[in-house]
Order: sequence, then C-alpha cells, then structure tokens
Amino acid sequence: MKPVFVVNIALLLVATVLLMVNVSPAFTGGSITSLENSDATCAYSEDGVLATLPKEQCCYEAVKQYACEKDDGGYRCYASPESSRFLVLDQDMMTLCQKRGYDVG
Amino acid sequence: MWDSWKTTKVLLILILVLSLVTLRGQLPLQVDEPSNVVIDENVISLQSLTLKQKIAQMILVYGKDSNAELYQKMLIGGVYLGAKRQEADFNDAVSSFQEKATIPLLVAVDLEGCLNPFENFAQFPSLAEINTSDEAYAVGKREGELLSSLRINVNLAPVLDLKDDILHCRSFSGSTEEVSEKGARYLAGLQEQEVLAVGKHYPGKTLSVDDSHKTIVSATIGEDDLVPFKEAMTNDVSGIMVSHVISSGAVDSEGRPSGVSPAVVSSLRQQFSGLIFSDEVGMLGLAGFYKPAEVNIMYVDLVKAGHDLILNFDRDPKNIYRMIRAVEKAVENGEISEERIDSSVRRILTAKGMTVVE
Repeated sequence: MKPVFVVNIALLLVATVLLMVNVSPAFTGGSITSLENSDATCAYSEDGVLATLPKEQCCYEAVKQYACEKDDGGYRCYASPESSRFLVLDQDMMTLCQKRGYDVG
Repeated sequence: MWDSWKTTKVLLILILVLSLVTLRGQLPLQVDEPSNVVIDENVISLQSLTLKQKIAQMILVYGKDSNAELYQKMLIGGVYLGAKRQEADFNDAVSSFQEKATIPLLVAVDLEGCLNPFENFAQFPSLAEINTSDEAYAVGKREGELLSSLRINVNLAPVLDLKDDILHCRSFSGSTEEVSEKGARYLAGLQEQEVLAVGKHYPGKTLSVDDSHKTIVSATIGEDDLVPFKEAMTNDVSGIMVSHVISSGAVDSEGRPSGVSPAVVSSLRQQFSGLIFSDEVGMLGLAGFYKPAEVNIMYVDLVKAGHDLILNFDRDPKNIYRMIRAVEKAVENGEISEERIDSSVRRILTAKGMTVVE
C-alpha cells in the first residue's frame, strides 16, 4: 500500500472526527431524542414511598437539589442528606439531564 | 489528473479549517464591562442598554458561582439558586452575583412547599398541609421573612394548580375557592416581606399527568382551573409563570406548548400587567416540541409569545449567549420589534425597584 494512501486515510479519519465534533448538536440530538424516548426513570421518594416523577419535570427537580450521589446503580438527589424527601434517577435519566445542559450529577 | 497528493492537500486544508472552527468554539466567552449603562441614584436610562443587554435582562439563569462575573457583564436579569447546606452558603451565593452587579439581579428560588431548598436549616409545611387561609398567610409571611433575610427577592411560588397528582404536596388542598383563597393569602404574606410571588403553572393541570413517560403533555383546561390565577391577579401577585402544557378547553394553546403559544400568553397579558415568566426552557415539554437543531427558533418563539422573563438553566454561559444572539438576530431582521423587548425590560427594571427613563 502506498504511504501517501495510508496518510490520506489517516487524514480523512481526523477530518471526520473534527467534522463530527462541530456538528455535535445535530449528532447528539439523535442520542438525546433516543434518551427522551427511552424508559429512563425518575421517582420521588417520601418516607420510603416512591412515586413516579414524569421525565418532563425530572431534570428541573433534580437541578434544584443540593447534591446527586450515586446510589445502587442510579442517583439519589436531595436537598439535605438527612431528608426523607429525595429524587431517584436512573443512569439514563441522569445522562439525559446532563445532555440537556443541566448542572447535575 | 487527480492524484493522491492533491487529495492530501485538500484534506490538510479541510483539517486546518475544521481545527480553527473547533478552537474558536473552545475559546472562553468574552464580554465587555457594561460601562455604557447610565444609572443615577436608581434611575436608569433604558436606551443606554444595548439590545443584547436588554435581552439578557429577560433571562433568569441557573446561579453557578463560577459564572457570576460573566453573567454580571452580560447584564443577565436574574439567577436561580438551588438547595444549599447552610444560610452562609446562600449569603455567599447572593453576594457573588449582586455585589458588583451594574443592575441588581432578581434572585429566585423554588420554595413551593414540597422539596425544600432550605431543608438543612429551615422547615416549612407543604402547601397540601396548609388547612386554612390564615395559615397560608402565616406560612407565606414566615417564608418571606427567611427569603428576605437571605436577600432572595423572588419565590417561584405559589403553585396554583388545583391538584398535584404527582408529588401530592405542591398544591393547596380543598375546593377551587379554598385553593384560590389560600393562594391569595399565601402570596400576600410573602409579598409583604418584599419578596415577589410568582403564581404557577398557568393555565393549570401541569401536575396531573396521565402518562409519566410522555415528554409532551396535553391537558383540557376548565374554567375552574383558572380561578386561582384570577384570584392571585386580583390580589396583586407580582408574576405568573406559564407552563409547557399543550392546552385546550378554556385556554387553547392551538397545539403548541402554552409557553410558546402567543394565544395563551397574549390572552394572559390582556388580564395581567405583572411579570410573565416562562417555565424552564430545558424541560422536555417544551424542548421536546422542537428538533435539537431548532433551539434558536424555540428561543425566538418564547419572546414572540410575550414572556417578560425566560428561565434557562443551561449550565454553559455560551449557550445563554447563543440564546441572546438568536433573539438579537430576530430583532435585527424584524421578526421581533425592539419595542417588544423594551416593554418587558421596563417591567423587569420596575420590579427591581428602579425608575426607568428612556
């Protein structure tokens, strides 16, 4: 294989990566859409009782909290670590919130 | 004849161009000091603000301390604070945003009576636990005293939805009349402490969800749903927040999320002279209505609908700046009039206690 051909293949790969970085809103848009349509889950826990929190409201509720900590494969988001009220997000939901630009996790 | 070396040259030029574009995107945002703004003893000249600065006044951002200086330079209108460990942390956060601010910022929280951002040092009943309108007034007053002591001047509360079917704690309990009266008394107690109350989520039924997996939410609004909002407006609530619900019935958003429905927001404007807030723009009920590449269209639609203040909690100031640029371009190309921007900024600056002159 001619060296120049190998060089061109390498340059093409670099150019492709740079192009994808720059069109990332369109590129990641598909991944955000797939997360929005996924079974990403979010719940509100009060005194040990879980209630489903709609995806539509979850990220906004999560960003209000003091912290989100990893917990049992997902995240526990709370205003106070001792509080009996907190949110439970799975990894997909946390990823969705972060891709949506929220300062969580 | 095309040969491999020509291909190499083309690819190198392409990589150079793409690298420059990538680097440009990584450069920190540069914003000039707002030395153009004319303020004299709380009297501000509206026309001394640039168009970008006026648009920035219409945005309420997530209050990350590391962005304070940049947002001050941009003349962002307000910041939102989430939960913190102790009172001193709130004081520090407020100071970081207000001390060097050319125009004072609105500082907002969600003390809406369920998940409590002050839980580490102050407890309050949920709205659902409030039994009487006198109690609602007392809770509003107590919450207002705390917020005022922390120099927080906006509470994105009370929730005026008739029911909270999700968390079962954010709405007042009782009949439509009882919810309305409690809402009015709560906001009276709050606003007497010089904290702006924002009734939400107009036109209602935001907390009644039939499918938690849906991101776009629709609801049929009845006349009853509007009663608490009308009562709040009669009782001089400072602001009303419009939800992203696609509404029909007594309030028809014409197939669009209410927040980007001129029909909904303009109809509200006809009844209400205070501040109209959008709900946060990253929420899927709004963001999911647009394709990812249409985010600039969404920003322009929010302003065209008629909001005074738009909540955008994107953590990256560059995205906030992109929002400002998108709206600025819409004004420059005539899609939005500058008077439309000016009318909102006058309301915002007046709410901040300033006297506005042209």
